[in-house]
Amino acid sequence: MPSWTVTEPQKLVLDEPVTRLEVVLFGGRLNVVGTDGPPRVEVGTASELPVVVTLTDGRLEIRHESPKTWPGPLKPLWWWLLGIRKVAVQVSVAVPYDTAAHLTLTSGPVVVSSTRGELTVDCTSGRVALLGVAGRIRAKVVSGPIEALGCAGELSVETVSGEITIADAAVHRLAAKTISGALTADLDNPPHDSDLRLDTISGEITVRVREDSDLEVRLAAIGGRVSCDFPELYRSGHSALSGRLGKGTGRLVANAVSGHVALLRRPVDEEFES
Amino acid sequence: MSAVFSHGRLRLYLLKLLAEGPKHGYELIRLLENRFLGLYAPSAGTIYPRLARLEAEGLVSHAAAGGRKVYEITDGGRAELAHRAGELAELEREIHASVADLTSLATEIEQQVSGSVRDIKRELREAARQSRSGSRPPWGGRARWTSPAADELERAFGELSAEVARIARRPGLGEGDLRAALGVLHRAAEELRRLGR
Repeated sequence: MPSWTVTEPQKLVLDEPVTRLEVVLFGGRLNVVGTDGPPRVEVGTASELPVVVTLTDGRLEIRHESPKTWPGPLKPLWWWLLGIRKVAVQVSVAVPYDTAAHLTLTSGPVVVSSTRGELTVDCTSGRVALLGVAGRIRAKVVSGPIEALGCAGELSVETVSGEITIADAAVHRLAAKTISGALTADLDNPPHDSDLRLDTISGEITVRVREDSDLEVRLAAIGGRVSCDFPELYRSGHSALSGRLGKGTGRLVANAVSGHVALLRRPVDEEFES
Repeated sequence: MSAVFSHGRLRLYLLKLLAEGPKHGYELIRLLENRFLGLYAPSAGTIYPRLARLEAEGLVSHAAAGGRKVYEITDGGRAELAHRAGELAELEREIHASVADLTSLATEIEQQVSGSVRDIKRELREAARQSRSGSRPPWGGRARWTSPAADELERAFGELSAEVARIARRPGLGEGDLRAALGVLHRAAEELRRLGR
């Protein structure tokens, strides 16, 4: 079982296969990219808290070292209570495309690109950027934005206070939730059986779907206005729109409490479909 | 990043990807994107003309499967690939070098994501604003002609639907009144149908 305790900048090239990546860091910056080269780990900037890298049966773990016996409720804070001030560390990891990745970073930005396995990102405060990620994707941020570009598959994103922006997403399932941030989604959804849900309390929802979508649509804003570019939808309440696009085999539901909701149509690029 | 792909090398790389198995254009774009960690995303407008040229030269062929064109390498294509193996190895080496430094790569990725996302956000916000202000024609802004008459038509349609909405919302309107309104709409629709034929 190869294992490294890293206390200063270091680059590791692993010669064993990796199928699963688990990262738990308290602070810093985390980058994960899918590649077809050998798995690599780069630790930049030294931290007062060592970073432990282990590889067991294809499972690559990268964690800030923490004592196992610390009492439960105080566990996340033990390093702070011990007076360790500098925990921020920059970690970049290259793994095979199909690696399942579970990433937890308490504070700082997370960048993930080109992975195709399952992905979960948990971040308390920081920004999350996803590029060309496919598969089942879940990202949660308490305070900070989530940006996803060119993602595909199932996407579930959630913030408390932070904007969510999704662009060029070929997702067939989307669940996006914010409490106070705006939700903007430009979807290249497969037309027939997409399941799309967007919810916000005080943010604004702007969603664009393919004009040839087959969707059963329900849009509602309690305090805001609802608008849409599809004439086939009808007003079903004071500020609600519903109706069917195409054959209505998929589902689009968007709810805002105090913000506006807008549904736009995305023209289909014929050449791209050929 | 795209500088790696000069002098017909994209062509060569497409052949290489097709040698791994038949693929449709969209898949090829995704694969190229993956190979470059998402930093080089060729558009359909870049890929299709090249595939068409490769096909004209007999290096690839296509079959229609499920409404999509699936491209496949031909024996001629394999021969070409074998002939240019040295060039391909050099290209692969350069590609690897361009993604070697993970940290700077990640910075580039982050910039690319936030830049593109910002543009999309701006575009959609603007479209939503227009959609809200009702300045778009009811058929979604994709009328096939522009003329003063078309603008007039748009406005008239907007007024019509506003009138219908007003009637629908007015309290105390009798069944007979609603039927009368319905009759007006039916007659108008019938006339329009005749025009549109």
